[in-house]
Amino acid sequence: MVHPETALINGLRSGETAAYEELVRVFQEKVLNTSLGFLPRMEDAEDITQEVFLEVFRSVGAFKEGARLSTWIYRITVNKCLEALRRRKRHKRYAFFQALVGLEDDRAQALPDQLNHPGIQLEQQERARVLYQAMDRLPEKQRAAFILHKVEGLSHREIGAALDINIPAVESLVHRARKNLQKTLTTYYKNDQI
Amino acid sequence: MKDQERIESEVRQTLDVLDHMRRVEGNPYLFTRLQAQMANGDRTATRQSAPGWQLALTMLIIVLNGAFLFQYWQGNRQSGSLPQALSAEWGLDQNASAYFITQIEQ
Repeated sequence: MVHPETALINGLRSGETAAYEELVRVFQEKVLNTSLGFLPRMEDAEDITQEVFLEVFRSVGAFKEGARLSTWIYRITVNKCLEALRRRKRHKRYAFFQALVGLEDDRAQALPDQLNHPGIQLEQQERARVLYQAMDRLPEKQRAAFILHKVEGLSHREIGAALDINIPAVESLVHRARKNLQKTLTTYYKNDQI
Repeated sequence: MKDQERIESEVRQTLDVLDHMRRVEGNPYLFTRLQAQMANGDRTATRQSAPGWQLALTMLIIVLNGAFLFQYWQGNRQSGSLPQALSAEWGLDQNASAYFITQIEQ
């Protein structure tokens, strides 16, 4: 009896359409919600989800035997989200420079800090905006570990496998992320600014 | 003291936002979209994997530039110095040309 995940990987490797469809069906929600944890705009998260699956389809040949498919997909998702965040930060810096020299930039204007997360209730939107702003200040690894833990509810072992670090390192990252967020939020609620 | 409690409560509630977030369902048409993108990507890759003419054009421009520079350098070498060039142009003695140039420069 072949393990369902092994059967799925074999199907993907032999290019079976049904296997690709099954992969999307099983992992789409996980990828989308993780992406929303990093980028709280549905449009961005949907773009990332597409990019993740295209990457998975293209590089399924490089998938290591014995590794878990979910771990690999989470790793790709985290990398894509961090890339998107870096791009957004670059565009913001570029927009700042453009504003300094008095030029307009349409691309940068198209990157507002608006929140469009269908999973957040209307009355929580303001708090969520503040939280995402605070998370923007976290180092990348802390942010990734915190989101995989809080949004996806992954165990420290699973997070370690996805981020390629050991369990104590995961524990430390999650703990420091929480402490840093508490510090940033305390400052915010004292002074009304992050 | 009350302010401190208020701040702690705000921080706790804000951190709890992630716990109360509802799971978002995926797009049922994602797979169809991905299939279309893959097909489109293959076509783009085919277009991009044939940059032969672009490479040839770049090489041609480099070769033409090189040939032009070589000709220019050869021409300069043949025409020699300014007095020589003036003598050849006006049928003058080279010393006379050199004298006129010195006068103009002064």
